[in-house]
Amino acid sequence: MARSVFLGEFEQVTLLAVARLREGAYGVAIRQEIEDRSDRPVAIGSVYQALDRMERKGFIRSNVGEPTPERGGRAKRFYGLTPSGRQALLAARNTLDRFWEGLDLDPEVFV
Amino acid sequence: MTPFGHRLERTAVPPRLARWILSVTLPGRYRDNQLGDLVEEFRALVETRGVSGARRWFWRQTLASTKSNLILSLRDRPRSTKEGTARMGTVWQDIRYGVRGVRKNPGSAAICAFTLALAIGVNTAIFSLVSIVAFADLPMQDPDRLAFVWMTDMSTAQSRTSVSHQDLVDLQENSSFESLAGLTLGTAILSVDGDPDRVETGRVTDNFWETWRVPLVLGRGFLPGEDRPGADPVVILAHGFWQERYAGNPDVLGESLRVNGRGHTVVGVVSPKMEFGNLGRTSIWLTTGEPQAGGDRGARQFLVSGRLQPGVTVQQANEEMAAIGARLSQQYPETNAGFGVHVQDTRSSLMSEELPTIFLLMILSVGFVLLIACANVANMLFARSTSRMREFAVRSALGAGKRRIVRQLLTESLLVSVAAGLMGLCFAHGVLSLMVFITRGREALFTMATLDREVLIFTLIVTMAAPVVFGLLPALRASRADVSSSLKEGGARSGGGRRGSRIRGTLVVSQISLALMLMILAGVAARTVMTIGELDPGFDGTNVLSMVVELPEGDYADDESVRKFFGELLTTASAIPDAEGIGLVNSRPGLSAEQRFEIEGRAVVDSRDQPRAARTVVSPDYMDVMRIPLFQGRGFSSQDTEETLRVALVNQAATDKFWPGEDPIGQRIRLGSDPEPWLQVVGVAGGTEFSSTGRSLEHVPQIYVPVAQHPRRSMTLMVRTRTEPTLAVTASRAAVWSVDPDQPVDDVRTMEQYAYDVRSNDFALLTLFGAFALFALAMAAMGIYGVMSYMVSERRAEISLRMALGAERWDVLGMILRRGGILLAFGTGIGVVGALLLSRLLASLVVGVSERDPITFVGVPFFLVLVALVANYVPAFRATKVDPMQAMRTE
Repeated sequence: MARSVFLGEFEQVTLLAVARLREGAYGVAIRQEIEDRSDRPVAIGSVYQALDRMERKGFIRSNVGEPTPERGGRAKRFYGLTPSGRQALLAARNTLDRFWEGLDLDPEVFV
Repeated sequence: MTPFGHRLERTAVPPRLARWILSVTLPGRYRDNQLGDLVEEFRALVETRGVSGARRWFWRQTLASTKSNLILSLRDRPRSTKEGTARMGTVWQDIRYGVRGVRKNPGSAAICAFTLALAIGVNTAIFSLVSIVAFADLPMQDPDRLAFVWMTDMSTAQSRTSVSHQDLVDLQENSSFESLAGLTLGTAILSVDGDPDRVETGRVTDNFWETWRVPLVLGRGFLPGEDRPGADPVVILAHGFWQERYAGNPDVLGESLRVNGRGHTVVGVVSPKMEFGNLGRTSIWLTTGEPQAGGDRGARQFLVSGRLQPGVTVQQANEEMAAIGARLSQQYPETNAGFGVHVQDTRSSLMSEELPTIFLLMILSVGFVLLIACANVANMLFARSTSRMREFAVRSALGAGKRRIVRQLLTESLLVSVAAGLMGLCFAHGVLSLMVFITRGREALFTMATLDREVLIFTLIVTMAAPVVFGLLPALRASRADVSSSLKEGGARSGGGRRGSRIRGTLVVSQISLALMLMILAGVAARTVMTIGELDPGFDGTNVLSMVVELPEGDYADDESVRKFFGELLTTASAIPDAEGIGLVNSRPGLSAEQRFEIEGRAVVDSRDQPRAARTVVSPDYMDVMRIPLFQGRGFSSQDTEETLRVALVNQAATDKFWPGEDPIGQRIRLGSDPEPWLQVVGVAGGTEFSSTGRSLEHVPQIYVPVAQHPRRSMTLMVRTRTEPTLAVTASRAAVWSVDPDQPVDDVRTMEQYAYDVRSNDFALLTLFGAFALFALAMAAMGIYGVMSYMVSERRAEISLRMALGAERWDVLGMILRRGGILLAFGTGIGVVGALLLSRLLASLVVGVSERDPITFVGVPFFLVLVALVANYVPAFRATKVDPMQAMRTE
């Protein structure tokens, strides 16, 4: 799976958010999870753009839930990690870990 | 719940516009999910941040998401070639259906296309005129760094006056311009192989060519110092003149050309780019050299333009030049008091001051024509979509979506519009050729108009936009057709619902108001055109032939020879067969510059208070020939010669202004500030001044002096004939040549022709404007008739039923007319108010009538109301006559 090794940062974050939220991974929850953990404003459109791309790559799959009244009768779309998505996340993490190995970015290094 | 709970509840919805943006940009797959997400979060935020905070958040999210959503939408498009073909397939299907629909009903499609074609045609034609000015390819290099310097005459509120040579020299001392050049147009006598010929000339300062940076195709521009008196005379040829006279021969450089009796060396040929606008007629370019280098600061004849220093803006230049102008008017109060200086950019400077207004009016008017045409077509489509309800109902029953139906109808509209655009282009070409023909090629604007790239782009945009205007409403309504009821009722009449009639009512109101605005404005313009024709210019120009005789300075150096020539000319010309009278005048009636003069015994402190009048030099019979009335005293006679008492006539305006309540006869005046002998006023005559718009300038003071006491080299010969004046042309020329065979005769025109030419500029455009309005009137009348009679005919069943139940015919008619009347009242009200607001634009253009001309403001609405009432009455009256059973059955 060579091509899946390099996930963009936002893609990784999105995948991780989906993974963390488990059954509750839909637009609002994913957006808030990313916003809370990355501590910066996130537009819902970019979340959907990333989700769409991940789904095309087969890392996640989605299904549409029942419409609810607090959403003006509109349905939620729930997302879940696929096995290859899980694989891609792990691979990405391993890659990064290998880069971090033995690297120390303590301020003294740059004195 | 808070005390504001109810209110909170009501306003706690996400912003509508933002939701609309989202639903348009989002791909169908995520539309519900994402909108739902945003709404859900929005509602949660209302609790914590309040409504406005939540709305702000919603807007931020919307705007930040739009780009991503658009990318998603695009990605959502053809995912595989198979899907792509399917999509293209539906487009083809739409077009095929469209063509089929058009073929099924070719008549109505043709009428729609033709209506639109006319509107697109006039729009294209007008745009091509506007684009000449807006996108004109100016001859000078980098025209944006060039600016024009004008004088402002505060006493006559003329904002753009030329500059005198003396002032130009002083203005050249500035830090805003790299160089400041002068240009003045005139004529000169050119002798080639002994044949005298008058040509149009441009006289320029030596730095002109380097200022404008117009390329020369041959040779050089003028050298510094070549415009000084005494320098070797040189000439630069216009490209057209070079081609015509010298067949483009490059050996022309160094040849000698006799101009005004003096040899001039040809030093260059200028690029054909220089032949634009007024300069197109110029044959040769001379230096300002000989005649007008004189010192009269009041002789303002130069068009001054300069190249701005790097980094200097027109605004900055304006400030500096205005300051210099103020200084000059203090320094030379004699000539410059009341004169300011200002700087204007090149493009505005090259336009007549009224042109932008005229263009704005034209664009407005053709825009209105287009809107009216769209409204007409929309109405026709409405009528058709009503009768096609059943077709759409079947389609949507078979699963066609709303969008699909709208798209298909818009495709049909676009097909019609494209056909109309093509026809419109041909039509525009026809309009332009017709205008060239009507103005006999004299209007540079029309001859320069071409359907070039900018114009084609414009037409394309109009063609693509029009279907949205006229096709969207009917299409949307058709797509909303209620399937079951349409199918059940048989569909034919289901379009007459409340909603349909409301839309149609809006159409009628907007059509009436648009048409009224345009028609009233154009009516005022048309009244101007009519009044111009009827204006009394102060003289009778019928059956008068005129021609200019300008004696060359070289051959007629002294006054005596000039006097002798014109004396002999009067004698020979009186022998012209068919001539009833012969007169001479220094220049034909029209707008002449006012000159200062002095009245004996009246001291003038401020030069601004010095009396001014237009001076006209005439032969004794001129007043008779032109039928200019004499009110008091005596006219000139052959007894008034250079040896006798110097005399003058004044007009009524001069009397009223300078001798109110006094008898001007016997008073003495002196023209100019020169120590000339005093002139004695011997009579009061009519005035002959009129402006370029044909405005009679009765208020302009005028002084007539006899030619015998004021000999001038340039005079115009007036021949009043008993029959057709053009028949006397040959005999008149012969009369001149019998006195001097080498003397050219120029500018031979009947006075009627002349009167037309003087005002041709705005006149042609105003006429065009009036013609468009008439055209729009016909279009609007047809449209209004169509919509209103259709509205009534939809109620046929109702009407005949009422009749069957015993209603009186007049009650029924009254009911119908009331409804029409309400729409009419609305439309007329809006139209008249709009016209009143827009009429301000006309103020500077209309002549002889008020821009709020009551006849037009009442007459035009009256006509449209009449059309509309007939449109209501006729079908209603017919409906009352129909047998109710039959009417019900056809339902």
